Amino acid sequence: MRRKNILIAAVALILLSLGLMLEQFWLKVATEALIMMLLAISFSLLYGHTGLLSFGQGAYFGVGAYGFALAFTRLHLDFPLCLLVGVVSAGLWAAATGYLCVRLAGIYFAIMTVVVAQSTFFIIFQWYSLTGGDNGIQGLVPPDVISGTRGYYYFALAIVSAAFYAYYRLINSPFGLSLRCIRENMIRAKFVGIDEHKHRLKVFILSGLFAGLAGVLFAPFTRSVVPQMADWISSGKAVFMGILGGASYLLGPLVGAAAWVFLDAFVSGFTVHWPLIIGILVFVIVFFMPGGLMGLVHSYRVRAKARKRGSSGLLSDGTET
Amino acid sequence: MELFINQVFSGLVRSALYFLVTSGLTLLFGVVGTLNMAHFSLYMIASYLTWTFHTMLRGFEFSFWSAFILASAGMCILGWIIERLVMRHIYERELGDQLLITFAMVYILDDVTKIIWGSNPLFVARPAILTGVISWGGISLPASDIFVLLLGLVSGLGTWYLLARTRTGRILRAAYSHKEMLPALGIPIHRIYTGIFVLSVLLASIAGSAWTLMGMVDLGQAHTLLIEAFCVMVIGGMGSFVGTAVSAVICGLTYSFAILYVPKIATLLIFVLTGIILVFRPWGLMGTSGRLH
Amino acid sequence: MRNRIRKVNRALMIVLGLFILGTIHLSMDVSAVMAEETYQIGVLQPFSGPYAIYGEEAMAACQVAADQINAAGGILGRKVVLVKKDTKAEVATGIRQANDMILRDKVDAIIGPTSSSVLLGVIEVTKEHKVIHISSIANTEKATLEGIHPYYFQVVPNSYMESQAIANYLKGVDFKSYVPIALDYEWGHSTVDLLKKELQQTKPEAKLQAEFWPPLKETNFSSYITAALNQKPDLVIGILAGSAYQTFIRQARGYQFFDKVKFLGHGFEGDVMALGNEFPEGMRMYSRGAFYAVKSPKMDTFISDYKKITNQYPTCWAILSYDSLMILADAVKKAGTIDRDAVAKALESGKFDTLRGNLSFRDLDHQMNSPEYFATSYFDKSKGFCVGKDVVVVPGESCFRSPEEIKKVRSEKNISFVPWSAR
Repeated sequence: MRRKNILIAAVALILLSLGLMLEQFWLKVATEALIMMLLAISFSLLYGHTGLLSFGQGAYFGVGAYGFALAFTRLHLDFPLCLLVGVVSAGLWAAATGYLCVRLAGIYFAIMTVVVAQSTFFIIFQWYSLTGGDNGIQGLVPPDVISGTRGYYYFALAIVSAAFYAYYRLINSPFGLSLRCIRENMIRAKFVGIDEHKHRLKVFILSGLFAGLAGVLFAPFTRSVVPQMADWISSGKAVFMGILGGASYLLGPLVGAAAWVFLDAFVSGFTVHWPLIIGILVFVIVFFMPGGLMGLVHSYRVRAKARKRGSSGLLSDGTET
Repeated sequence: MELFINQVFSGLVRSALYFLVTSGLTLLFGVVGTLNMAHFSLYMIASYLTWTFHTMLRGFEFSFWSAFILASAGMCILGWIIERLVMRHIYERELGDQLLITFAMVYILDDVTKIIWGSNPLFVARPAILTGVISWGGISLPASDIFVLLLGLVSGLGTWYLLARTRTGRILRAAYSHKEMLPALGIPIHRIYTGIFVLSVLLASIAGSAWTLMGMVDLGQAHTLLIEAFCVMVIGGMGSFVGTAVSAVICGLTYSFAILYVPKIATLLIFVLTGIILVFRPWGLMGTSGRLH
Repeated sequence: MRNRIRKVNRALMIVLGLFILGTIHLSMDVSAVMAEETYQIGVLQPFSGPYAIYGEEAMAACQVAADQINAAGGILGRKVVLVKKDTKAEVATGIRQANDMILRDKVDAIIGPTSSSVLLGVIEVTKEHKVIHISSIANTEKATLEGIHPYYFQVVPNSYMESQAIANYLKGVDFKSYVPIALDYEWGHSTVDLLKKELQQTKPEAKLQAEFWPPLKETNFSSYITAALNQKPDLVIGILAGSAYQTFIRQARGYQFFDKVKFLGHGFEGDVMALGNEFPEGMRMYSRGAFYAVKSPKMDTFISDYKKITNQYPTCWAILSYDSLMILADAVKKAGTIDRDAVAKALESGKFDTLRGNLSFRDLDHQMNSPEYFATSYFDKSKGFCVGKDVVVVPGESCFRSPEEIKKVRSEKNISFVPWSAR
């Protein structure tokens, strides 16, 4: 337990000092990574913890961003209030569409979420009078205190840390445990009296809120929103990041999002063949490491512990210790 | 009346393309249970291969037809390689991993295509026999479109015959429903899977070659079809071959009439239809509910 | 098996570790090592995915311009260096890459990008960092109307000007009824809306029979073609672009569409060249910069230099990108310094000798008075594709949105922009 506290303190120190040490461009990339962590968390909640493969988290990312942008440019609300409007609208949209989605399972659930995401994209794209169509909405400049690169980094860091804490508490709560129960064995979950539909809808809305929060933070970060934020390619990114890091591990989405964003920024900084390089990397990671990056770390730790105890690493491979 | 016939015909041509692109995907999902996102990239590569062979054979009278056959053969080989190297190792993996691996292949294949063929859109000149138009009053049917329609029909019937009326077809169907029994009878199941995958790529390849008659060979040609093809697949019933044919016709016709009356939401209409099907009848029009999970 | 996986895992760890190290390395030492004696220009375009073709043409043209300038001794004795970055035609990536160019490569100016939505996002970045920004391809009017800042300039005629030019040109064309087929996005909408309004005034007898809106990524136009033909209009106006446009033409030919109706569509040379002899003859077409419409030694030099790099004739995208870079270089020379304020002032007030004649920016919205070219297509055997004859040049000034309207829109939306001349 003490070791854990020291670790947390160290990570916090590193993250805080990054804001002072990193040069401006990489600080922007770090901010993007922080925001994307929320999107990856929203995917992991559904896939890693409940066993629902969502290919449509982009919809709530986009709705959150547009909720913010519309409140900001049309209603001229205060900045914090705009953030709230964005998150709430994402949550409401998740509740409405989730009601239809959670009735399905497996591949059908996945395809339903794609259909929802594409429809959301389509509505945003077509509703010219409200959303401005494909040109999107620009000029979303945050208040002066956080409009600079460093200010926005700390702002995002604060919100993402709080959200991460909420996520941590959530998956360790009785509710989180019953989600994993649904994932592992639906029939047994029903036996012990878990209302599976209700639980799934709840977690769907929660993950919509996380995605919406990501969208809400992303809009003032790029100072613009576009319909593409809601389409299936944007949703695909959430899937990439979630599985890359290892969706069922606590730190998986964070590691996955950071790896993805930094790789993307790094690779597309020097070559136009980034799809090839990223494609090969993702392919190799998923093909050879089913648990993602955190799965890799986990298996190393398990083996190290086994070696310490002097037993064969093979025996305890893959089991939780 | 003329408008009606014209829209039915153009809707059916659209259906034929939908069907050709989707049927391979359905087949693979129906027998093996794997959803191959890279299917559409293979469709695109088939178009590029057709262009390459067509250019190599320029001046030869049957250049298009030869290119068609050579591209199909080439794609079968490519499909076989991909199956041996990648696909057979992921049939048993989790759904998320399967989607992600094949999605990563989309990135790889698309970029390799760009490296080989460049980013200029290309086109294949229609053979002389397919350049004409059959006109009758206000109705006009281009020969190339009629050919695509026939191609869809023939490939559909051919595959259906293979599945429903031959011994191979019975084995294929058994590979889905009685997976454990096949090895017990001495039938190597992995070879069946290879065969199914190659067949699905062949169907994609036919679609790709057919497309060269209708439009441009282009790096974006696959992206545009992807979501619509999934909708067609779901409406018909995932894994149901006949269902895919029926739903391709429904979607094609819906679209070609929707653009007359509600042009701005024609695409959305297909999504809504898919959503309704998923909510009330997730196994699709022709699927059986047993395949749901 | 397990051992093999472990080995692979170890190798993977090493690869990933190297990647991370590389990232850190790159983040440490790239900044500000560039020598004093260069003038760095960022070329921000899509270079991957389906839109890569635009980026490649723009890049080749900028390369020609940079080579010509450097061969003549550079700008103010500085060598022009191009920094190329890929937007992937995505807003978030475009913004990140623009930041990368500005913060790490320390570019003095940016030329690009291609998509309007990416342009509007990148304008926010160049506004924040006060970097000279010229758009040579993306042409949404929203950029000059609302996004505008003192360092932003638009060389390509904006969407308003283009539809006004088409309306002006159509005054001289004889037709009683028309049908627009336009891609269902901003460009299609703004063009068709303005055309309808203008035609009502200038050609009240022309009847709008129907309108068709294929989605942006449509690949199958047969249903639209048959539906449009069924209306039997005198004129069909196609507001389509890229490979969708090419596919439309191929499918329309299958229906002998071009023998049955008059058609007006764009003649952007990329699409025309890609189609070769499939492009219809006798079609009314327009372009933002047609190489065959201008006969000057300057254009001839550009064509031959451009062909040396790409083995192709220049498209309007190439011509506009070349012009953008040359205008920028000219402005730096006129300013006598690379100070951004001075260069922006020189851009705003200067007259520039471009491939398309003597042009200048309007101070109100930093929009260049770029002309639009109209012509009738015919097949040129020596080139292997269609070019235009009976060229009509509609000058940019005649197509501008009026200053009153601009001021009205800006006051409604609370946008203030003060040109350098008014400071």
